[in-house]
Amino acid sequence: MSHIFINQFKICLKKKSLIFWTLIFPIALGTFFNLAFSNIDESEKFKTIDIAVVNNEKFNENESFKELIRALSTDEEIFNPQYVNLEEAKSLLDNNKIKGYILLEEKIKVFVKENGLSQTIIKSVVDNFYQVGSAVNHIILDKQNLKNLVMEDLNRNYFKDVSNEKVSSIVTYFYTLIGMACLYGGVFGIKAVIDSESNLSKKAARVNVSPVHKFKLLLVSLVVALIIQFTENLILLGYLINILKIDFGNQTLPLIILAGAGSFAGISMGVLIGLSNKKSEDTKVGILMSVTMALSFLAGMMIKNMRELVDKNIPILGQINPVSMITKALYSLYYYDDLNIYFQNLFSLIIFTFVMITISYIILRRKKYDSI
Amino acid sequence: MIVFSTFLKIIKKYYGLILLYLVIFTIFSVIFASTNKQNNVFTAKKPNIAIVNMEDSPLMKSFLTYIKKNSNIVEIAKEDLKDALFNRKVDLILNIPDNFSNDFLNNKNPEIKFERVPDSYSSTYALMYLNRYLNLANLYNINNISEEKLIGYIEKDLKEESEVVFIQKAENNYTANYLYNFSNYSVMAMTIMILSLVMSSFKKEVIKKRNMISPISYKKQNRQLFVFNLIITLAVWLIFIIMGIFFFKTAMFNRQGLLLILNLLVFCLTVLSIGFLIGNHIQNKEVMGAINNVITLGTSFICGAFVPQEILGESVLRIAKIFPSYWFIKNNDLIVILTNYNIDNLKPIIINMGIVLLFGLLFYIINLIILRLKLKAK
Repeated sequence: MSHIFINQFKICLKKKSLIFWTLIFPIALGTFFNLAFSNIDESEKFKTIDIAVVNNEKFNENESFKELIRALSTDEEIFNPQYVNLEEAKSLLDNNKIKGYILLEEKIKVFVKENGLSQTIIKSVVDNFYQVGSAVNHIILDKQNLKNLVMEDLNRNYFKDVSNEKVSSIVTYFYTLIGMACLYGGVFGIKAVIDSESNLSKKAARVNVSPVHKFKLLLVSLVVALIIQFTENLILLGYLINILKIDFGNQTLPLIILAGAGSFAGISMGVLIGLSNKKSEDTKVGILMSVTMALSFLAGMMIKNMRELVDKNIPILGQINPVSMITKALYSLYYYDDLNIYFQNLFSLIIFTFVMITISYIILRRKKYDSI
Repeated sequence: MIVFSTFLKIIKKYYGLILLYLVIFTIFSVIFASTNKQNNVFTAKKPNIAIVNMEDSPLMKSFLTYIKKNSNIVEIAKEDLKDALFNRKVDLILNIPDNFSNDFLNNKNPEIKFERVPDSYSSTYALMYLNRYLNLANLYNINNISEEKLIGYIEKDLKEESEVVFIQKAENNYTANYLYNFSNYSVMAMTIMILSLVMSSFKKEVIKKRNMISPISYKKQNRQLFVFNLIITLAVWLIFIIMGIFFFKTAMFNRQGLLLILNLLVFCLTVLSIGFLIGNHIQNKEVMGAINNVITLGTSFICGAFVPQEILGESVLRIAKIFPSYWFIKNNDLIVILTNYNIDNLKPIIINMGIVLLFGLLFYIINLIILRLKLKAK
């Protein structure tokens, strides 16, 4: 028994492609994530909006609007205005130098090309100008003998953000990465199947005539796979936490348990893929890779809103996707103090693994060959 | 034709895998483009707001009517709020303090605490217009106008809006660049995978030696190999044109659409050259898969295929410039905002295309040099 164990270990560690997919690739991808997302939190902050104001008579007469634009561009730096004539404003917008321009006629008009955040802010500022104007009129009409109008604090903020301080949305990219790495562990499962199923490789055929029970052999290679994959997951976690400084919350034990359960799920999926067809190893690995990529995509590896979108519209897809389960469990460790959602997803992950193993067992049991 | 039919045989051998790739990447692209399509028109989406501790004062009632008009109010039990936020069922939770109306009207400046989905535009926008209501109320209040009166006034005030004029609405494929930027990933992954699978079968040592003694000259074989690869590349290109038309319909049949398609063609040719280089010099299919994945996902992340370039940091973009993907994606972004087709605006686009082509040429030359060196070594 022990020599099978040690030999399996050696075989797995010597096969560089296995180590690449399960360890090097996730680490490389994590590094790319870190490069690409290092600036995102910064860029979500507000940027000054380039606008133009048509410098016509109406504008020059309207002292209060002039003052408003000046205040918004110097005191608050919301706008970066250029005062130009109509022709120039049109050409600036045409060449995308500005987001929109403001033209004062009977009413104030906002000219834009598309419907985006900056455009809405421009509109909102002008709306607000109108509304305050209307309010001032109401006050003056209401208080006939008004001496002095109090106009202070017109842009006060009445809201205070008490959101969980852990608001970074970038972390979820790294969580899906862990999910992806777990499923890539399936390459070990595929290898174990190919090496023990006599209709899949010559080596397996040879091993099958040896006096070692087939299930024992498969079991040992799966245990070895699990140990290696689990260790690699811990290395990956260590890299993300200590070198890239990604926040995984403070609960170490649940994190380690999840890494183990994830490895198990990935390997069991690999076993099923290995058993499901008689194609070459390349094809099987190809299937595993593309299925994993698809699941990671749906869990939000390329777009962060993807998982929510799936959960909202096709909830069943989110519930059976192991990458999504791992991502959600990790996110709950980061975001929540209690472990409810974590256990929900851990449990789903275990069910997923159980289903994979059961189907594999049904395919595998009592297989005997007259010829191969 | 004998070389050509051999290709088809190899393709047939892998058709399942190729089809799987094709289906997955097509679905990826469509989903990617459609999610971004929705995200872009951000005003159309009303935020979901949950309110805790609603007061029953006239001011609050009127405020609530205003909130209802601009957002969807979601009723959720207090203990489920955090989960709702986690599952994005609500974008914003407002926690109104006790005695808010009273404190507000007595100028005590009470604060409404909120929790929200991180970085969501809809919540930022919601806070903007909620503040507007309270600021107007405050303006009336500090000028000593009673609660009943100010409610009526505000309703009238808020109907005052500016006029927004959409001029020359960009040719309606403003979001087409999402599909074509994403194609950096799908086009590269698909093309390089198919090319390298086929090429590596040809370059196996024994097969290569056998082919070399065949009556078909080495040159001719290589030429046919190239033509075949070109056909595969053009097929992938065609898939993305069809996808664009399917997705953006007639919007693809204008100058912008044509430029996008042309830009993609230029990029496809460079990808062909990369695929040729990899297929020619790496025989091990596993190594090939590894290189393919690292190149496609790596460049996609740092060159802006997934995360827009304007969001990526300066330092990342500086690194990204050494990949053709950067110039390809930059060009897509430039093309979709193009409205004025004058030389000044078109020049950078043409230059970027030139750079992408130069990359292709560079990879081709590297390929030739390595081939020559290998031949000499023998």
